[in-house]
Amino acid sequence: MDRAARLGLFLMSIWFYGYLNPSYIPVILVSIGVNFLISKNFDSPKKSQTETKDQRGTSKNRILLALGLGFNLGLLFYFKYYDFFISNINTVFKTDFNLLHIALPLGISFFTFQQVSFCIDSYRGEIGEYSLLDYCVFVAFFPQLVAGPIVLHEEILPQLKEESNHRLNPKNISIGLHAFALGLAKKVIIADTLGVPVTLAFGGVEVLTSSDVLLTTLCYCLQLYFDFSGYCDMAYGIAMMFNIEIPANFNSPYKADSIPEFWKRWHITLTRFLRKYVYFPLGGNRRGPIRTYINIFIVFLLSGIWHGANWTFILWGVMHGFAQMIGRLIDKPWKKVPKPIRWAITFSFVAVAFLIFRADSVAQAYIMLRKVVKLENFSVTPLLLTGLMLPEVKHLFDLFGMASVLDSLTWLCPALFLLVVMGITLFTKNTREKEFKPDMAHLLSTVVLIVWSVLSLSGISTFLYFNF
Amino acid sequence: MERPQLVRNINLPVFQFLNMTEKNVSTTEYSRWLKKTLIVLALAFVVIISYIAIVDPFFHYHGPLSQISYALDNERYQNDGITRHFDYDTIITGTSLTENFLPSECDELYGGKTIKVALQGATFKEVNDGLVRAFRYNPDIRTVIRCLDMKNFQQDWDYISYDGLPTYLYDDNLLNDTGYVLNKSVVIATNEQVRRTLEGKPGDTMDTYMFWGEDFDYGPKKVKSTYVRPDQEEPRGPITEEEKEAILKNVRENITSLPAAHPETTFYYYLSPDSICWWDVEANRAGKLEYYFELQELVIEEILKTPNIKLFSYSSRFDVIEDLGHYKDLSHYDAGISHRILKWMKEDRGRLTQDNYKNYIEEIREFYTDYDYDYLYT
Repeated sequence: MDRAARLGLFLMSIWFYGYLNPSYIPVILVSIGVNFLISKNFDSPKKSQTETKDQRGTSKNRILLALGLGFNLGLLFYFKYYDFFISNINTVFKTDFNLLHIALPLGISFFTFQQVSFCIDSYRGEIGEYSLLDYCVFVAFFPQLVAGPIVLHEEILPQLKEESNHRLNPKNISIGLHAFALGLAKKVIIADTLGVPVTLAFGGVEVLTSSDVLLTTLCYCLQLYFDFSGYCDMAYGIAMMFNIEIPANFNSPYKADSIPEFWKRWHITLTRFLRKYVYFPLGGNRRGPIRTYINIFIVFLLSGIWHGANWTFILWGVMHGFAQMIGRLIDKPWKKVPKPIRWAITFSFVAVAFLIFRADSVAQAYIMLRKVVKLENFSVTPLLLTGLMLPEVKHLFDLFGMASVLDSLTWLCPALFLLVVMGITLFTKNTREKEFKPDMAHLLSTVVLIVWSVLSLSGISTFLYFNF
Repeated sequence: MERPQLVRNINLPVFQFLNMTEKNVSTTEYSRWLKKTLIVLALAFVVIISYIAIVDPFFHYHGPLSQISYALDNERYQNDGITRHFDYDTIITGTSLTENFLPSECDELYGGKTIKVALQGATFKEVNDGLVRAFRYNPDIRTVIRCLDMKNFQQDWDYISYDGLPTYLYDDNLLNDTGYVLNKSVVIATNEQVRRTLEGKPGDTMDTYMFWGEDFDYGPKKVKSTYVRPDQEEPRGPITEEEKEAILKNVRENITSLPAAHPETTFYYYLSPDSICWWDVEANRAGKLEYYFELQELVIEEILKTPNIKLFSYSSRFDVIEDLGHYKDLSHYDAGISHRILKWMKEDRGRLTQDNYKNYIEEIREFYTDYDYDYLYT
């Protein structure tokens, strides 16, 4: 019965994975198969000749580890970085190598890193006995498959095996449903609305004013926040319904008042992965200050590269690498600066870095930043504000005969929306921190948020006939 | 039932939030909350779905209810429902050039029951798709009146100018109707219909549906404000074999195939009467005068092969073409011209036949080639 349940969960996860594009199902299946084979073939530490930490691996284990890392990173390189690499080669050496133009398999960065961690932990002899089915469910578990968090085996596999977790648990389902509702609303109602002006602005940066760029940057910071935070809540909620607690990935990052603090709060499981599997093996902070700074820089450079195959992501990683180093250097004097100033500097830096992160190219980011520095035009393009106007809010004003208020104060609703949304990022608790009570308030908020979000999934497209 | 204990490693920083204080709430309370929540959620969806299905602002499930004052204002969302559920045997369709036709006038002239399902900015493919669906819903269509925009002949036969068309309304699949019944914009549209009704406003009619005749200024000044006269291009060569194939494919797929499949229906097609300024900008200055004569000859020849199509052209009604008082831009003519076109077609005026179309081509070739376009700008 348990086996059937796990098999069912695995097959449903694969169906979920293949729903949009079935052609990548073989990629994940091969990735899972190869990793499991490699992990199973490591000699356990007891069998190996030496058990000291530095010489733990037999040559067979070292070859297997190299194979495992080579396979995973090779797969990631082929699908994610090959075209970027070749196009740069073509530019620098004026060559004409063909690009692959393949679509990136969904979640490949996440499931690859998760399996790299499993492979290294197997090599280190830190993994218990798991069946192929356990492993399959661990990698493909659908709530965290496509966008993380990057979970470690010791967090998930024991929970999957725990028999008491194989029964319906009304408490966990209730907590999960409420968290899912919050996450869905964050994504559909907030992030997608913020995305409207962002998409518009990045689609035509040449015509933006200085204020437009500032507004777009703020909107993008908030869009990314609610997109990611919403996803994390939904993943947490769905996993909770299956009695699985996945680790937190997000802890109110915009509350941070320094860059090192920001990275303790943003994409926590990626930072943890890089710390455990890159920073510590490089020596961490044990080899003197210079090596420590170099190691920090390498970690952030890798983080940038991991986020995508574009110089914008690399530049973003480099910026955060430097900021992290400086943050560490000036730790003591920094704490003497008043908190609001620390916060403002941190947030501004994060925002500028995200502008580069979002830009299609470094050149585009440069055009936008130059506009801000020049401070030449302070008007805001009305179309960007219109995007922030929820149709339901406009409709409510209309129903109460107050449409004229909105017509004369076009900035009112967008400004209120941004204020509320920014307030949520700064002054509210994380979904997991909030105490869940099975009461009427939670019932109503769950229902209202789900209904509102579902209704917001589709809209009416406006067909603008420009020649008319 | 015992609550399963989750395996947590609270020493990991990532689990910092999981030290939640356990409150003394029994499993039964969670069970009850969960059941209540799911029931309220289901009820909320049932209420919303029923509200939209009953009022049905886009006529996807039924025709207009006599108690509701419907606003007709969204062609790509409402046309399909109109062709599904309205009572009619005559259709007026095409682009914005057909929005000023009055179906009531058509009823009188042609003696049927007319609906107007125009599609602003549509390609031949999109208009034809709408007609194909209309014939599927209503096999008793007797007459189709359709405008053929000159510029659309050069488009790829399968080109549709818009993404995001509400295709969930265009099929009979109930599952994808979620896009309709669970859509906040549709809820808002439904509220608007109800509000209109409560305020005692009358509903739109087929005559007023997207009628724009009185919304604009007309005349030479207005027309010339909509474009910058381009530089003179070198004359382009004759239509190539490849272009010819593409044009004919467009005509066969989107213009003649449906009439061929419905020989009992009469199709009144007319080539759009574009203004003299259009001929200057798109043909004369673009070096494409000869191209357009050739194109017209090609498509006319092809369309005339289908006997139940009555084909008309008013490019030789020079009194209309030259009088910019009837135009608001290069191609959009006023409601008066729409009215006359409807009448002329019924009277067989401007009709192209196997016997007269060569003369027609010669007539427009002579007129538009010799025309003193510079005079328009003096």
